[in-house]
Amino acid sequence: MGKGKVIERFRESIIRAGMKIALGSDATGDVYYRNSAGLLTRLGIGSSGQVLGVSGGLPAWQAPPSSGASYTIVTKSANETLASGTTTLQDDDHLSFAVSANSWYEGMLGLRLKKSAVDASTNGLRLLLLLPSIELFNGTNWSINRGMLYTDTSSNYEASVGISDTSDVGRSGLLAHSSSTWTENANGYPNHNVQIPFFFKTGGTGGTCKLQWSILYGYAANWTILQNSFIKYYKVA
Amino acid sequence: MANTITYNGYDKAGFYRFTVLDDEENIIQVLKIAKVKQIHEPDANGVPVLVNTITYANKDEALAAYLSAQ
Repeated sequence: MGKGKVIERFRESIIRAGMKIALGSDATGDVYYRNSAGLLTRLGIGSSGQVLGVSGGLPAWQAPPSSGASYTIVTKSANETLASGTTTLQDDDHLSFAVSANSWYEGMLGLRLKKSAVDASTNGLRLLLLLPSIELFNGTNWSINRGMLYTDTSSNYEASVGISDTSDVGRSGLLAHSSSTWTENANGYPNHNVQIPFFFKTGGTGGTCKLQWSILYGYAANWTILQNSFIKYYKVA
Repeated sequence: MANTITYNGYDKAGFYRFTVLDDEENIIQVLKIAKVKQIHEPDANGVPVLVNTITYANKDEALAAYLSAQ
C-alpha cells in the first residue's frame, strides 16, 4: 500500500471514530491549546462557575468578573402589628443589620403595609433608621432621606425615613397615608407597598442599624408591617 | 382551629408582647401593645390633639382592649 493510501485510511479512521488525545493525565472536560513552543498542551478542566480567560498570554480558568454591587437583603419573617395609640418609636423585630464604623452604606427599605381601620388623614407612620453612630451632617447627627412615591388606588404620597444615632420622634421620617383602610387581597398582597432609599455614613462606632417605627397619632387603626418586607443594603466604602 | 395568642412578656421599651400562632403553631404575627396608649382626635381644622392617655394595668387589660376594637 502506498504512503498516500495509508494517510488517506488514517484520515478516514479519524473521521469515523474521532481522534483521541493522550498527552498524559488527560481527563474529561480538559481543553488543549498551543504553547509558546508550538506544542499541543493540556489545560485541565476548571472548577464549576469558572470562566476561560487569559493569563500571561495563555488560556486560564478564572472566577467570573463581578456583576457589580452585591446587596444583602434582610427579610421580615412575620407580620408585626402595633396596636392603635402606640406613638413611641420601637425596634422592628426583624429589620436590622450590622454596620461598621466610618463606613458608607446605601440601600432601600421595602415595606408592605396594612392598617385595620379608617384613620384621620393626618395620621401615618414614623420611620427611623437608628445607627450606633453617625457622621455629622452640617454639624447635626441626623438627616431625612426622602422616599419614592407610592401609590394606592387614587393618590400618590411621599414617604421618608429619618437617619440618626438618637431615637427621637422629631428625627423620624414620615409615611403619610390616605384615610382608607389598607388591606390585602385574597393572596395576601397588600395595596400599599413603599420603597424608601437611604444613604448614610456611620461615625466612629460600629454596631447595629435598626429600623424603628411607631404610629404618628393615637387614632383608631392598628398598623402592621407585613411579612416579607425587607431592608436591602450595600456597604459602599 | 382558630389562631391562638401567646403572651411573650413585657419588654423594656414599654410594650406587652404577644405572638399569634396558626393551627400549626407557625408565628404569623407579632403583636405589640404599648402599656401607655395615646388617644388623639382632630380639632376643627383637622389638627390632631391629644385628648386622653390610657395606662393599662396589665397584659390582660391591654389585650382585651385590643380585641374589643377588632
